[in-house]
Amino acid sequence: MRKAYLQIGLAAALLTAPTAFDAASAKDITIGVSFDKIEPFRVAEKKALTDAIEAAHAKMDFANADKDAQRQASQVDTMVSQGVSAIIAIPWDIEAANDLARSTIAAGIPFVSLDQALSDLKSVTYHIGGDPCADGKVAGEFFVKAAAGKPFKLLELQGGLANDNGIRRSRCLDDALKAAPNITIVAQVPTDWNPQKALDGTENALQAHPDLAGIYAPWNDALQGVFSVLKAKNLLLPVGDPKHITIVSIDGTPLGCKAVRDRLIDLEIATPLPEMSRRAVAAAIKASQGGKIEPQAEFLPGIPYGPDNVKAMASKIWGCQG
Amino acid sequence: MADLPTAPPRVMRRGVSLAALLKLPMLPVLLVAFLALSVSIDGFVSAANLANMARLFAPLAIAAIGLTFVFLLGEIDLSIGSVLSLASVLGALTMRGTASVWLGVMVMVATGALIGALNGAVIAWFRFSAFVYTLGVLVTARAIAMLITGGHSVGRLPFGALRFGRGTFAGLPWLLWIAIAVYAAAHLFLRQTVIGREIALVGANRRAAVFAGLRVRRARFTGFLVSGTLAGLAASCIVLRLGSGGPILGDNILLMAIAAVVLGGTSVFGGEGGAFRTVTGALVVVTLDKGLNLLGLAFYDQAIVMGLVIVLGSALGGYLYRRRTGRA
Amino acid sequence: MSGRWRPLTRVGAQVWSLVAVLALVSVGFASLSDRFADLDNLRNVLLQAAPTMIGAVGMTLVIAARGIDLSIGAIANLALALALLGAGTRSEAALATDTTWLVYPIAIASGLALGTLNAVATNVLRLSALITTLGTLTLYRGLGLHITAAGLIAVRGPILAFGRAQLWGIGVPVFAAVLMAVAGWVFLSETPTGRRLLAVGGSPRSAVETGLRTERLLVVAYAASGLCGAIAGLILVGRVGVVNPDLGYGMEFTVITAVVLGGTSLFGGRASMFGTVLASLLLTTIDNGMTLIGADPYAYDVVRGVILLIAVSADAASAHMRSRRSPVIPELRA
Repeated sequence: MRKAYLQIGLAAALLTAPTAFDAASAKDITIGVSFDKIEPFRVAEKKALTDAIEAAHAKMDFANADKDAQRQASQVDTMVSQGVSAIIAIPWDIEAANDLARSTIAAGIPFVSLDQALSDLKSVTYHIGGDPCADGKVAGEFFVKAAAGKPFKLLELQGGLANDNGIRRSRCLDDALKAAPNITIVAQVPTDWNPQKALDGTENALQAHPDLAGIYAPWNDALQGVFSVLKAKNLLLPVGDPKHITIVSIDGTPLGCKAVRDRLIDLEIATPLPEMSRRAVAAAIKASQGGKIEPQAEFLPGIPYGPDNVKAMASKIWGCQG
Repeated sequence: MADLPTAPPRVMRRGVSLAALLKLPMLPVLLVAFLALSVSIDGFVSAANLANMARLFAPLAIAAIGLTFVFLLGEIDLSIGSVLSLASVLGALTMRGTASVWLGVMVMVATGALIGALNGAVIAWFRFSAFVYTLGVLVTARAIAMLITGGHSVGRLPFGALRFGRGTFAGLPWLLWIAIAVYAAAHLFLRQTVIGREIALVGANRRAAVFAGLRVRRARFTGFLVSGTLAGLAASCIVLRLGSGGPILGDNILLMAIAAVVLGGTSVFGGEGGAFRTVTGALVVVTLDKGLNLLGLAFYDQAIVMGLVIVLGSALGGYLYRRRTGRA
Repeated sequence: MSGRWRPLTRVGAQVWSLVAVLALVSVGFASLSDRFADLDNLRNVLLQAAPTMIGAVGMTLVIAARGIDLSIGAIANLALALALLGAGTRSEAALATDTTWLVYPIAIASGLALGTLNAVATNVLRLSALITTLGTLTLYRGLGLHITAAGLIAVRGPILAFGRAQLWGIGVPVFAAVLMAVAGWVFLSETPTGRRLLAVGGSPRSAVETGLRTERLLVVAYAASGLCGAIAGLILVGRVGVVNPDLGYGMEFTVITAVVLGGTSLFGGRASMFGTVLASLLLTTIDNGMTLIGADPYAYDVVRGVILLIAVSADAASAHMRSRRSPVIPELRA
C-alpha cells in the first residue's frame, strides 16, 4: 500500500518538477500564426500570409492545430507565453476560440481571426474573412437564373458537416434556392472536403438522376472528382453545350481558374486570399503597436467570375495569376 | 485470491521499488526526449509551458487510463472518442441551460457512465464482438452529437467553467489534480480490490479464469463501465479548459489514447499492464506533440519524427526491459 | 459438433448474417429509389467498393496471422507520392503532373517494401504489430505529405489508366478486386503457407514450438497488405485524378471494419475472405444507397452506425443459438 502511494507521488513529481523563467519578449514584431489544419487550400493560404508578413518586415511563428481545438488552444497559449506581438488564427472550433481570443487579448496581445469567423465576433481584435453565406447565396442565385423557371435537378456536395464555413456555404445556397420551387436538391452528399468522396457522391447522384442539371461543388478540389465522373459518362462538355451540366464552385485556386478558362464550369467564386492576408497582417501589426482597428470585422465577399469574363477578371483572381 | 490455479500475471508481481520504476518501457525515451527538448527549446521547462502541457495531458491520461482497463481485459473500446464528444455536447448544453458548471460536469460523467454500462452489459452478457460493437457506438454516438447541434459546437458557457479549467490549485492546474486523482484511484482499484485484480486475470487467461470461478462477466462489465465513465470525465476536462463542447471534439482522442496505452507497455492481448504505464505513455505523447511543435517543424516532419520515436523508442524500451529482467 | 469444426461453423454463421443484412439493406434502398436495383448501379457499387475490398484482402491476411496493419492507408499515400517522385514530370502550363507507365512498378514496389518494413520492424525490434504500424502510420503519412508538401497534385497520363479502364462495361479495378480476393482465399485455404499463417495466428507460441518460421510468414502477410494498399491507392488516384493529403486517410479504419465485420477474428486463426468481400460491399452499398435516396447528410452516420450494430447483433444472436446446442462454456469461444 505504501509503495503504491510512492508511485503516485513520483508520478506527480515527474509532472511538476522544474519551473521558473519565462521566454524573453521579442524585440521585433513576431506574429504568431495558428492554422486549424493543413490541406491544399491552406497551403495556398499560408503562402499568401507568409508573403504578407515578409512584405511587412515582420517575423512569423507558425503552428498547425491539425483539426484539434485543444491543440490550437495550447499552441496559442504557448505563443502568448513566448511573447509574440500578435496572433493571427484560423480557428478550428469557433466557440472555443472565443475564450481563447479573450484570454489572449486580456494578456495584452491582439488576436486576429482569419478566414473562419468566430461565433462571437466581439471576442477578437479584428476579423477578416470571406463571406461563406454570401458566396452560397451568389451560387444559389446563379442556379435560379440558369434554371430559368424550368425543372432543375441539383446535386449539392457538402464540405464539412461540423465546419462553420461548410455549413454556411450549404445553408445559404439552400435559402437562395427556396425562391425557386422548380429547383430540387436531389442529394446532399457529405464529403469531409475529400475529392474521392465527391467523386463517389457525383457518380451515385448521376445514377439516381441521369437528368441531373447542376452540381454545387463548394470547394475547388472537389472538381477533379466531379470531372472524372462526367468524363466517364461523356458529360464533360463545355459551357454552352445543350447537355452541359451547370457547375458552380468556390475558392479561386489555380485549378479552379483553369476549369473556368477551359469553359468546364459556369461560375467560380474566388476568395480574395492575398487581400485577406494583407489586411490581417496590417491589423495585427497596427494593433500590436497600440493602434485601434476600424472596422472591427470585415467580410470580403468572393469575386464571382465565369468563362465569359475570366479575361477581364483575371487580374483580381489569385488563382489566375502566373 | 490466494489459491488461484494460474500464475498471477506480472501486473501483480511487480515490485514497486525504484528499480521497478525503471522497467517502464517508455521511461528512457521520456527522459531523453524531455532533456533534449529542454536544451533545444527556450522556455520548454517554463512554468507556463509545463502548465500548458499539463492541461493537454490531463484529458488524454484520463481517457487512456479508462482504455487501459479494457485493454487489460484483452478487449477494445473504440467508442471513447465519440462518447467524449457526445458527453461534451450534452454537458455544455446543460451548463448553458442551467448556468451550473457542476451539473454540466455531472451530465458528462453520467453520459459516459451510461454508455459505458451499456457497452459493458452488451459485451459481457450478449457476447457481442467488442470491436464491431464499439465501432457501431463510435459512429452512432458521434452522429447523435452531430444531429443535436447541427454540427456546431456549443460554447458561451458560464464563466466559472473556464475559471476552473484554466485555474490552478496549490500551484498545479486543477485539471492535473483531477488526472492525478483518477490515476491514484485506478491504481488502487486495479491492485487492491478483488474485482480490479480479476480484470487483469480474466485478460491474462480467459479459459483459466472461467475454471477458477472468476466472475468474468462482472469483470468485463466493469472494464467498459470505467472506460466510458472516464471518457465522460475527460470530456469535462476539455470542456472546462476550452469553454466549449462539440460533436467532433473527441475525434483525435481514440488514436492518441491507444498510443498512450500501448507505448506505456500495456499489452493489446490483455492481462499485462497498468495505470502507471499508461501515465508514462500519455506523458510521451504529450511531450512529443508539444515539443516537436515548439521546434517549429512542418507538421508532416513532426509526424516523421513522432513515427520514428514510436517505433524506435518502443524497441529501445523493450530491449532495456528484456535485458534487465533477463527475459529472452 | 467437435471443437475442430467450430471456427468454420462460426465463420459460416457470420457470412449468413452478413448476407441477410446486405439483403435487407438492399431491399430497403430499392424500395426508396427505383434506380438502386439496377445493373448500372451494381457496376458503380462494385467499382466504388474495389479499393476497400483490395485493402481488406491484404488486411485479412495480416489479421489472420494475429497482426494488424494500421499503416495501410498511409502506404497508399506514400506509395503514390513516391511514384510521382520517380515517374512524374510537373507541367506548369497544364497545372498537372505528367506520368509514365513507371508509376505502376514504383508504386507496387514501394507498397511491397513498406509492408515488408512493417514486418521486419515488428520481427527485429520485437514490437507488437499495433505499435509498429501505429508508428509507421504516422511515419509514412509524414513522408508522403513531405514529398507532396501537403498540396493537391493533379495527375495525367498512364497513372489514370488502371482506375478508369473498363472491360465489358465493368471497371478493371473490379476484376482486380475479385482476382485478389480469390487469390487470397486460395492462398489461405489451399496453400501450405496460408495454412501456416492461420496456425501462427491461432497460437503463435505453439506455431514456434512446432518449428514454423513465423517471421517469414509475417513478412508475407505484411508485404501483401502493403501491396494491397498501393493497388488501392492506384485505383483511387486513377479514378479521381489527383494525389492529395486525403488520399488513403482513414482507409485503415474502413478496411479493418470490413475484415472484422466479415468474421475474421482479431485474435487470429480464423479468417473469412468471403466475409471480407461481403462486408466491403455492405459498407459501400450504405453510402451508395444514401446518396441515391437523397438522404439528409447528417443521417449518413446514423444509418452506418445502426447497420453496424444490427450486423454485430445478428452475429451474436447466431453464435448464441449455436452455443445453446453446444456444451462448451461460452467464455471459451474466441
